[in-house]
Amino acid sequence: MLKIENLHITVDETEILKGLSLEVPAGEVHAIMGPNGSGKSTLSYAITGREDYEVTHGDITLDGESLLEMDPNERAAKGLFLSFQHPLEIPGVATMNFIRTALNAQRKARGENEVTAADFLRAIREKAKIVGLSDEKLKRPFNVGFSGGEKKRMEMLQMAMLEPRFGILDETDSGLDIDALKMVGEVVNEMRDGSRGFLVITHYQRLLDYVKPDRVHVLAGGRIVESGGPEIARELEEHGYDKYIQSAA
Amino acid sequence: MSQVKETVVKEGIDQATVDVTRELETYKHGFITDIETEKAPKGLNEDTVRFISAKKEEPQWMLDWRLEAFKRWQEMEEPTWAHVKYPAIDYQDHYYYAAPKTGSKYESIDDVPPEILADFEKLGIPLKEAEVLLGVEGAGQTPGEARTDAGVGGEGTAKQKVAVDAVFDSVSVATTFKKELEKAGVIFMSISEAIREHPELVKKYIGSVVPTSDNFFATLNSAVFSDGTFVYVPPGVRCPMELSTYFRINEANTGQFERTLIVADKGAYVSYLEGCTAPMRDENQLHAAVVELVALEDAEIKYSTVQNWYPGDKDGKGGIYNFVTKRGDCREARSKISWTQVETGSAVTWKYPSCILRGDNSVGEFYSIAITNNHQQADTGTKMIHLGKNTTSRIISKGIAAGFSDQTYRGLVSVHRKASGVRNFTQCDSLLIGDQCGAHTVPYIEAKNSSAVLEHEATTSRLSEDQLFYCMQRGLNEEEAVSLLVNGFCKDVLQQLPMEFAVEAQKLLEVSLEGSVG
Amino acid sequence: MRPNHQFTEFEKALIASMPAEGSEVGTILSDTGLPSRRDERWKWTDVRAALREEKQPSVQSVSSRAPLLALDQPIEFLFANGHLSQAPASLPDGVTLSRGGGYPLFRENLPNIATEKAEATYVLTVSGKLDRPIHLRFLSEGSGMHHTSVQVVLEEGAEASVVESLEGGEDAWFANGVMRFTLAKGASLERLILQQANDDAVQVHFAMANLAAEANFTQGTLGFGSKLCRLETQVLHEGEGARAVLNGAYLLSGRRHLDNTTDVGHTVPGCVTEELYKGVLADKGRGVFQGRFYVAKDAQQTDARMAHNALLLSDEAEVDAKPELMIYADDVQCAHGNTAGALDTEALFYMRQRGLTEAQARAMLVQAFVAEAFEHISDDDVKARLTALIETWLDQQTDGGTR
Repeated sequence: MLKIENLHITVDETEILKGLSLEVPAGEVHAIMGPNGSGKSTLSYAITGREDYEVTHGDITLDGESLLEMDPNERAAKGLFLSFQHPLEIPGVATMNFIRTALNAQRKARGENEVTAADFLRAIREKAKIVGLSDEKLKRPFNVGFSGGEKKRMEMLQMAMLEPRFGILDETDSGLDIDALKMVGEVVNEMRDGSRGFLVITHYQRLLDYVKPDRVHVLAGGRIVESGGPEIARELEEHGYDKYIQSAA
Repeated sequence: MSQVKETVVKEGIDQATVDVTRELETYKHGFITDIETEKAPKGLNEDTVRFISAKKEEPQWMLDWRLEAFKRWQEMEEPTWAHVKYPAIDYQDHYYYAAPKTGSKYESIDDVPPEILADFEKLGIPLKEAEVLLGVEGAGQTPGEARTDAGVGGEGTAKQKVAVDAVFDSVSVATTFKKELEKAGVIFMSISEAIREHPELVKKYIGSVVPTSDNFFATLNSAVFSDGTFVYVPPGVRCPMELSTYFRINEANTGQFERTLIVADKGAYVSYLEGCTAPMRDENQLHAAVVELVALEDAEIKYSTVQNWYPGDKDGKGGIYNFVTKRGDCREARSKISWTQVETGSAVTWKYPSCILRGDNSVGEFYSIAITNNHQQADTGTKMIHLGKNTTSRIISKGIAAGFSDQTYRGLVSVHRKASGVRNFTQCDSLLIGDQCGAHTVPYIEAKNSSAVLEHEATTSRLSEDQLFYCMQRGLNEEEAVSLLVNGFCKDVLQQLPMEFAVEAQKLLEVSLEGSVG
Repeated sequence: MRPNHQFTEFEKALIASMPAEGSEVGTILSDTGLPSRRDERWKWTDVRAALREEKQPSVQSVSSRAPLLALDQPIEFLFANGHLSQAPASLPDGVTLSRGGGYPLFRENLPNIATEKAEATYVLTVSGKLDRPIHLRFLSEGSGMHHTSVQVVLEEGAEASVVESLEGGEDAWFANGVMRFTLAKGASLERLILQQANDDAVQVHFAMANLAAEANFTQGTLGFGSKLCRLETQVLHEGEGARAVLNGAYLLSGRRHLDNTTDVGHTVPGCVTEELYKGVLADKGRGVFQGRFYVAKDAQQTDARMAHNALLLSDEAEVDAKPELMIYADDVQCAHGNTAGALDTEALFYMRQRGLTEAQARAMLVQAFVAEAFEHISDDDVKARLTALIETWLDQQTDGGTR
């Protein structure tokens, strides 16, 4: 479903991704692991279409359709969701209003009916319980005054509400305790089905105990340097990234 | 508990007032050198301008330039917008030129009259190379390397090599380290010499940053400037030492009109230190300097000033009127100009060291500490004019007002239409010590480009009684506590000073504020 | 008279319309003319340049229109081109309407001119707690000029809210208004100013508020500018423990100009001022913010804070700010902050990743940016109506293709 071919990305005149290829078939969860600075976040921004991430070569397609010419919101409407490594605070913007506007904007773009206020409220309350966010938190301005863990829960809440076709989790595990990791696992596993795909970007193996990947790829020096089964993650946990850093250099 | 603390501090204030009064009568640098001088006739007219130019053996183009400035000046009005009050200046009641009678040129340092040398010695300026060299310790270190946070002003830290160009009244009396600088290709001499020896350079750059028509005081300076310093650092040269000029006004009723011009050619670096002192006199003395800095591609100029001209006595009698135009032009890409000033002197200060950020990616900085006490008035600040793309500026101003003094920060940050990617950060903090003084902040912010990010913060407060009490509970006496807290308040700026000045500046802060607890 | 001052046709006609003798205001006017950029306090808002051609007095009637802000049971006064054309048949208990006079001159001459040229100075006196809002509707249209002068007096412990809507019809009118607010001990006033006008109109609306001990003066402003518009408020804390809130937002598009100037004097100890202005500038809009706190020697324990934040949505827009502190007392807490910048691109990307269109994301961020300036408003209905006005403005920007 998500296919990346020979992707080269340049940021501020520096090439970060240097010919990355990757394919995640529908229904699968793939993990990308890599040392700091290997280009993991660049990959997530490139897929979701952030400005200043210039694609100099290659293509990214979702279900055969190239994403490159699409705006970030068009990609979102196609079903791409990114759980940000560092979610933002947006002062003055009401959380519920934001998520509802996002949901309806996506539905509108897909030619679907808007969700009624009542249906939305019912759904968000139910899902907030799953991710562990209180009603009081939902009434605050978006993420304002939230802890790091709460912000990650808010990411998972949005993923559950927006029901994307393809989810990218960019270091969602960083800063989370065991309970929160379990919650992330629950949300993802609940959503896993034959048609959805996920890309889990992480530095450590621990999230993969809760979100079992079908394949694991090692990203180093802007390329995928090894791909294999979940055993790669365990191996990395034991031996670190040294061998890849050397081989990439 | 808090009641007790109140009482302690209140008692301290009374003692403080006494101490301040005492301090004010002891301006350390207020001695008068007894030497004969040669002066231009009192007053100002075209002949005065011709007299000065002739005395300096200037070429015709320089005289013409002066005369044109004088013509303009006669049509100008003295500015009144600054938040300072002073009796009308009678421009005809000043001498515009004074030189030691023994003549202005010395073949070697040994020819300088001993009185003058002694005078400089009293000021703590090492004039003879030997003296300077004796003071050198850990030479070769940059100030940044030599300094740690705790080390600002700390004793025993490294001293830098400093070349001194001393301006005694109107004439530059001696220049040290000339040879070593020559070897590096650095030109460092009085502006009068430079006009004769490097006319092409002077002609090219003088008035190119501060035009003769700029403002009343700058125009006056252009007409009658007596001497000053010229620095040219050739492409790619990092000036091997800090350059320094000590200005000193000696003769009564002599206006001092220095003209400083510093040019850093492509990729050059220079750090320049300016210090000022003046003897105690009852009459007010006029000082209207112009400083022009030009930084070409990738060049950097760091200009530091410690200004402690005589501020007048405790009743506000006497003292210097300091009306200075200082401006730097970051003329080409990636150039950088950094102003750092510690202003503790003068009766009236009117001074806005500014940066024109013309080259793309150029950087302007202004770090200032201003301390006013008694009846001093200071209206000072900066202008950052963003013309080039991705230009950045930073303004940190710390004002401390005590006694009956009045001080104003006045600053402009202006972003022009085509200057995209501009960043400015401004912080102006004022501290009031006592309830008879005033501290004001007047920033002007003009933004014409949406990509600019401009941030301005200002606060006004007094020394925290809690902090004072805390320090005193730990055993510091009141003055030590105040000094410690004021130093903390000024730290961001003190850190910017070259080592040579950091020590002096910190001493000045202590002296200026001794006993003035609020 | 100023050296080399060439009077404009407008100035000549205005001077000629002043009483021939005994008018100090007229004397000042013929001495200094209208304020221009040569005056420090008007350097960014040049009234003289905006009003060159001669203007006749406006006709005293205007076409009827729906109020800019619908209020719940307002006590409504309608000023049609400066003429009080509608007033309630009966006023509620505790409210009286009279005519005043004999005011001392302001330092600024335009409000003096307004006082002198207005058909009267109407004085509204309020005692007790008034539970209905006073709505002063200033309607302007045509190409003439007109002046208004209104005083609102709150007696000891009185509470009231006053909404001034400056509503403009077509054409190049000039409206010059002065407001005086006098709050006795413990009185509490909530003031809201709403300004909307066309591209040709010039408007100066000046207010002076004198606060006695423990008085509360809360002001909110929402302005959309005009060819040249200045909303100025001066506040004087005259009794201990008084409190002032000066908040406002402006949204400027086209070539509109709006100047928010405030000047707050603290002359007695223990008073508080909080000030927050938010500006949004699109197209060639030009926003001016001048704020000044003056703290006199005796005004110890003053707590005064000011912030102005501007958002530039266009490369042709301009914002000029001068947040000023003049402090003569040492035991005070005074601060000001000023920022100018574009919308946060990171937030924009985040929101668009969630599916919002760029226009939606921008609108939401702008609303959030501006909303802070209205948080103090106690009436949720009023707040919602202000939000709706801002939404309308934002929609127009999107329709017009402003990015």
